[in-house]
Amino acid sequence: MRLAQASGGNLFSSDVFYEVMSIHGSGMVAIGLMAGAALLWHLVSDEIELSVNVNRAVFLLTLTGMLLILAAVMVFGYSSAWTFLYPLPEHPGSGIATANVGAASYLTGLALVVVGFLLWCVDFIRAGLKRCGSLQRLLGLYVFSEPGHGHDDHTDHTTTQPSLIAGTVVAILGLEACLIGALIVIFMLTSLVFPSLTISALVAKNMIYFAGHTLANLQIYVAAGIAYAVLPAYTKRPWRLSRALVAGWLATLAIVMLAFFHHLYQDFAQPEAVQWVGNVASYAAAIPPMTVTIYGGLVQVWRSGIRWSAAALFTFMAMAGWAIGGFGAVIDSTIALNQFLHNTLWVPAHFHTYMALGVMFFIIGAAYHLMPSLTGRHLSEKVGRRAAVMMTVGGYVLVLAWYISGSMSAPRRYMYPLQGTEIFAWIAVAGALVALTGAIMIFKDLVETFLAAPHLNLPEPELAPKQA
Amino acid sequence: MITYLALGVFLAGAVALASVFILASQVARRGPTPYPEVASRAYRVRLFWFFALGGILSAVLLSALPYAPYANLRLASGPAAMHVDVTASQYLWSLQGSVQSGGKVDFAVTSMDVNHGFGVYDPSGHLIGQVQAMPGYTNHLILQFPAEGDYVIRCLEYCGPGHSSMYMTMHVSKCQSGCCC
Repeated sequence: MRLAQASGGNLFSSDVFYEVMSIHGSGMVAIGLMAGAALLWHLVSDEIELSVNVNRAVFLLTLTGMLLILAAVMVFGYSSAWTFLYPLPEHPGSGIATANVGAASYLTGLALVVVGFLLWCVDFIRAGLKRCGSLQRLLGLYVFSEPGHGHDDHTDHTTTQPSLIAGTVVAILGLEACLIGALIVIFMLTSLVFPSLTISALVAKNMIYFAGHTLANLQIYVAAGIAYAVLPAYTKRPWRLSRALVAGWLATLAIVMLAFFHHLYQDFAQPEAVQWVGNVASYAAAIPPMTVTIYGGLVQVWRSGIRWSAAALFTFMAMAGWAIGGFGAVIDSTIALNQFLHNTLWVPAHFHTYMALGVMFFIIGAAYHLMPSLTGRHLSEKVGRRAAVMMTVGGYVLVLAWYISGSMSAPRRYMYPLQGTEIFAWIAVAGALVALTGAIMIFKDLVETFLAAPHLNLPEPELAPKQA
Repeated sequence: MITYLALGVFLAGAVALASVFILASQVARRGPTPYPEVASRAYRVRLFWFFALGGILSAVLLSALPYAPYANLRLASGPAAMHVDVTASQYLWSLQGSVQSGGKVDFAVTSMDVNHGFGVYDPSGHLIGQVQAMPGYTNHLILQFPAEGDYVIRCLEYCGPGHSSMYMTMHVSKCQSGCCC
């Protein structure tokens, strides 16, 4: 896509360009979220008994959903982006005869992915409640009333852990996002069959962004749960429950539901008070990560004597990506600035900083951490460290080119660079190629390690809960 | 350009954050220091960091309030002198009304089909304002054009494969007496 864009839109037809864009957005959100959920499941499986059967169903639903989305794009020519803003799927404007079939296939696939994640959320809360007895204990509210809350009591199995709190907040927010997401997707599917059935474009946009923004954001929160489990293994320091940590996650639970309004700042039909709620919530959402999880990660590492293995390196750099991308997001969420940055390349710049250089790094770090217990073999540290450097350098070059282009008013989702930003489009291509090379190195090592594994220590329904 | 200021602030913040992470990764080698010793000092600093961050964000929010693009703020100092009806459709802009430099222009923006973004670029290629064009709604964007010239209207909301080609030129003529300000 970057190459096609830098070359002035001459590489692909516009239909193909936007089909690729649609599958990239949908695929990365679904894969990032489900990969994070799967890793968190494995990492907390010593603490709570998540159902292997439910998680198999989640996997099958996600896989089937993704195949339908692939078919929608590659067979039927769906090109209405992962945001599928109503009524675009009904009026795709592509001239492709099967576009309506593509829209139906896409929305059905999306519904399956959403239902899959909804099941994961329900199962996580069920398993958490089984351990802790109540939602209050699962979320750690007892730290405000019980003495000695900061010390882990491994004899009391009704206490919670930071990873469990992160997972529970993700599950609660995920439930809400999936329900609203499922509602609008089902409505749009029905509307495809009965076009006379309509809904307000503003209401639909609010529903889509509530679900879409929240689910995209949950990737980083599920990744935080992963970090709580992975980083202490390398710093040899416990990541303890604290009042600040619990308060931070409770604040996140309340704030994230309101932050999505920043996607609608330029919809002036939206009540103005709601726009300011969006601004305040977007700012407030930055405080818990910056003072609890990211700050806590720095404290974990400080004078720890850590050996920078690939797992620790990727996890630590993911926190940097989260912090830097979050800062770019806060700037964009300022209403006075958003009128000049909304839907410019600043937007993909900031979310790729905390997705590609944050969420993906958390996932890769967790993969390095878990491979020995899953396969009995280690991934190559040498490959990991080299890839980390390439992905970091390439990734930051890519997003920096976008930040600069965005500040120069270059629109996002354009097939060609605006005059004056051509050089940055090519710099972005170079950065993407370097980062992609690093990612391919890891992927190759991952596949080879799996194929050469003496055994795969995958969970069975009866044995799953207590496997390391 | 305010966006260049935003870029400068972002780059300064990003460098500061990256420096903290690099510093932490280097200091990490000096350990291991007992965690309670590190943690107790770090969590005292955190309280300061929490209030500093909250204070900075609150100050930015309050100082940016008057610069929001909403019509009630922009019309507080007086009504619009010109009115332009804007209708978007895949992949065309239709503008009814003329624009002259100087006075406030009220763009009443709607869409015939899907969501579009009405983005106005000045002759040097910088975005000076935008609003969504939505089916079933009319959004009012109040803008002032400091100089005459050819401005470009670009679609800033993805509206289908022809999205990138949805633009037109809007000529802003020189202010005539009595029509502006």
